[in-house]
Amino acid sequence: MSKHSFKEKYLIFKVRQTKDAAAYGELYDYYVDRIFRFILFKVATQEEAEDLTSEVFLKTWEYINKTGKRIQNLNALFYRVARNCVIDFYRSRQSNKQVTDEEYLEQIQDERDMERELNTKVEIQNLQQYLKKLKDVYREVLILKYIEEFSISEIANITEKSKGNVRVLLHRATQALKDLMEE
Amino acid sequence: MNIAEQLKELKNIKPRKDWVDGQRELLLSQITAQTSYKPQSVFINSWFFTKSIMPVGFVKFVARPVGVMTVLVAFLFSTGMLGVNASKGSLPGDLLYSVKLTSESVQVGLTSKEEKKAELHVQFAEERVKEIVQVAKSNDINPADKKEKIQQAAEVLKQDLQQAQTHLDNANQDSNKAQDVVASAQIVDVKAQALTAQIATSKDALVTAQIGVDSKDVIKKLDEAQAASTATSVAAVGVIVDKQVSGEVKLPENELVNNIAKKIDDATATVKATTETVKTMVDDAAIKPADLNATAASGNFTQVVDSNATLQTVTEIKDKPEQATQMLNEAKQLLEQGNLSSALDKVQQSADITQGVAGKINDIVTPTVTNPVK
Repeated sequence: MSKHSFKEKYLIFKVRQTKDAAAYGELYDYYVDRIFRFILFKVATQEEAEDLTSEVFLKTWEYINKTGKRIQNLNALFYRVARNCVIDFYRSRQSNKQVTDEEYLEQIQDERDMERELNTKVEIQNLQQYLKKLKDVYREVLILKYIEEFSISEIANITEKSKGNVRVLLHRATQALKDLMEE
Repeated sequence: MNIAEQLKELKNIKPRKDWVDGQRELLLSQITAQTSYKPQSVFINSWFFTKSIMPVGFVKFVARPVGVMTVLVAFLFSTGMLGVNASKGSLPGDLLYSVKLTSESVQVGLTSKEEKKAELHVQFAEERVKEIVQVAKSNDINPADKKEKIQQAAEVLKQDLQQAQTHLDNANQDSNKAQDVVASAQIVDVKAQALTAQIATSKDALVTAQIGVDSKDVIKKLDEAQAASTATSVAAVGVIVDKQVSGEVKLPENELVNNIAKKIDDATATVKATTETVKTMVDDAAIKPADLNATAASGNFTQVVDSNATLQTVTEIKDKPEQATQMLNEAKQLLEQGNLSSALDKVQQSADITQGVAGKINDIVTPTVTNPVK
C-alpha cells in the first residue's frame, strides 16, 4: 500500500462512512512500525514510545470520525498527531512552566538527555545515541528524511513548516550530527 | 558509510511483535466499543467514496461546475415546462403563443405513428377554433387586433387540418395495423365534421356582429379552414373505405354508406346556400349592371367594390353551383352502386367547387357590419 494508494483511500472511506474497525486495523498494520519509530527517537524509553503510539492511533481514529474536512494525506496526519502527542507528553511533565511550543521543543532535548542517561533500559546503537543528543527539530527532520524517506514537501506538511525552512533545518541537522560523530 | 546511509539503517528498529499484536487487539476493541454506526444511503456513500478517491481539485474544478450545470439545466427545463404550461391558455398574438405552437410541434414530433399524428393535429385544430371563439368574444381586444388574431389562428387551423390529411394519407400507405389506422380515421372524421360546423358557426357570428373592421380577409381565412376541415373529414372516410375495400378491415357496410350519404347531404346543403347567393348576385348584376356599388346581394352582403370585376366574377361563378350539384348527384348514384371511393371523390370535387365560389364571392363583397365591437 503506497502512501496515497487507492486502497488507503478506500480504507479511509470505510473508516469514515461505516466506522469499520477492521479497515482501521489494516491502516494500523501499515503505519504502526513507522509511527513507533518516529516517537521512539523523541522519547527516552521504549515504554513511553509504546504508550504514545497507542495514543496516536486512538486520537487519529477520533479525528477521522469527527472532522468534516477531507483527509488528503493520512500519512502526514499520523505523523502530525504523533508529533502533537509527543509535545503534549512533554508539556504534561512541565505543567508548572508556561512556555511556548518552540521554546518548549528547544528545552525538551536538555531535559530528556538527563533523564535518558538515568532511565533508559533499552540498548541503543551509537548512531541512536548521537541522534538523541541532537535538538528535537533537527532529529525530527533527519528521521523523516532519511529513515522514513519523505520528500521535503511531505516533511513541511508534517512539521507545519515551509519547504525552505525544512531544507535549512535538514542541512543544519546533518551538519550537527556530523559534528557530534566527529567529536 | 555516510550519514544518510547510516540513518537508513535505523529503519530496522521496530516495535515488539507481541506489543504490536496486543495493541492492535486493544485498539480495535476500544474503537468498536465507542462506535455507534448508523447505516447511510447508497447515494451518500457513493458520493463520499467518489469524493474521497478523486484528486483534490476534482470537487472544485469538475464536480462543482458539473453540479452547477445540472442545476442550471434543471432550472431551464423546469422553466421551459412552466412556460409550456403557462402557454396553454395563450391566444394568438400573445407572447407565449409561439411557445404553445412549438410545444404542439414537439408533441407531434415525439409521436411515431402517422395516424396518431393526424389525431393530434385535429386536436390542435379544435384548440384553434376555441381560440377564435375566445378572441371574437373578448371585449378587451380592439377590432383591428381581433381581426389579426383570428386570421392568425385561422391560418394555423387550416395548416393543422392539412397536416392531419397528410398524416392520414401516410398512415394509409404504411403497412401499419389497419385496425389502428381505421380507428384513428374514425376519430378524425367525427372531429373534423364537428369542426366544420363550429367554423361555420363562428364565421356566421363574425359576419353578423363580432368585428368592427373589414372582416373580408378573416372570412376568407375561415372559409379556407372550413374547406380544409371538410376535406379532412372526407379524407378520413377515404382511408376507412380504402381499408375496407382492400379487405384489411371488416366494417358494417351500412355504417360506411350512411356516413358518405351524410357527407353528400351536408355538401348538398352547402351547395344550395351557395346557389342562392350566386343567383341573387346574378339577378342583381342583370338588373343593375352599372350600379352594383349601391346594392348588394342577399343577407349579409353589401357594398360591391368594383362593378366590372363583379360582373366578371358573377359570370365565372354563375354555373358553378350547378356543377357542384351535378357532382353530388353523381356521388349519390355511385354510392347506390356501391362505389364508395368514387362517391367520396365526387363529394370532395363538389366541396372544392363550392369553396372556389365562396372565395370569389368573398373577393368582391364585404360582409355587413351591423354591430361593431367597441
